[in-house]
Amino acid sequence: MKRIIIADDSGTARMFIKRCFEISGCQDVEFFEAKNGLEVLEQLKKTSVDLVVSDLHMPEMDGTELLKRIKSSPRFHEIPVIIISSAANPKKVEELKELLALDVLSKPVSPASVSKAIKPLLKNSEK
Amino acid sequence: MYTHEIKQAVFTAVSETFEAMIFTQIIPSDLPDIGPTSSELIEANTETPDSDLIESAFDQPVFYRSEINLIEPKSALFSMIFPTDLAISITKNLYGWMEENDPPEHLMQDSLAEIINTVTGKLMTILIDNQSTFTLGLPNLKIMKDLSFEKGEVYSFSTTDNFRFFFIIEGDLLPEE
Repeated sequence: MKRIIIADDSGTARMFIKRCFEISGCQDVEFFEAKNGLEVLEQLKKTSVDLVVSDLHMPEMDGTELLKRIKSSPRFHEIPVIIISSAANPKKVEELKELLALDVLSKPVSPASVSKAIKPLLKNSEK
Repeated sequence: MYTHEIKQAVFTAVSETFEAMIFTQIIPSDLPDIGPTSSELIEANTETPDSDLIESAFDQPVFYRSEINLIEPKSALFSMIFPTDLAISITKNLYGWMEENDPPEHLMQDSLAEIINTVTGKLMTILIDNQSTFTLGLPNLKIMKDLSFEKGEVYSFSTTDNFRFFFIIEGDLLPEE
């Protein structure tokens, strides 16, 4: 079973993102939810996770800071991070990919955009 | 920036968001004949009672106003105003709500906050050049006793179910006079 953390301060956004993953064909996945980056880091300490999907703009700790923390952590740096944002224009996407985001998706996400973003992960798991 | 460019961008942002998130098509509509009066506003929060109780407190249907600030590169305020029935409809579509009772107030408020966040992000992505970035604040919700437009540029839309709603821009994005 795969484990995915979805982080967004909006419960509606978390529900919508989760639904897009389900429709895109993610089977046998356990979803965890977090309201900000700090909650994600707490979850990571408690459980092994295969993917973090995070909103960019959140209170307490935003998606950029979360991405930096995960990628600079000896323990968590291999966990792929997908950033979802309503402010994902090309310049921002470039900045986040330089910080090693797996992909950056614009809101509203769709099952198709989710499916495309996780394709590299599915290929790796098939090897 | 020209008025017609902003108008087209607003329509694209609102229509794409509505189609993707709540499977609803929209069309531009005429503005209602309402003067620039002020309305009694109350700050919404998750402890606000159900919409029926809010309506009876005001003795009439109310409107929800979701707002979000543009912080950088310019200062502006974006708002959307929804009648209660449309707010309920949006939430039901978003959540696939099948129960007879209306969704609880906190789900409605969270849904409308996510809609303004998504629409505004999409709008700014269209309007701003590819090499610039922008920063939005966190969305917040207000409840309006009356439909009113105190200031700003107002764009009016209708859903295919004939619900009318509004998108308002206050600030630097408006074309210079």
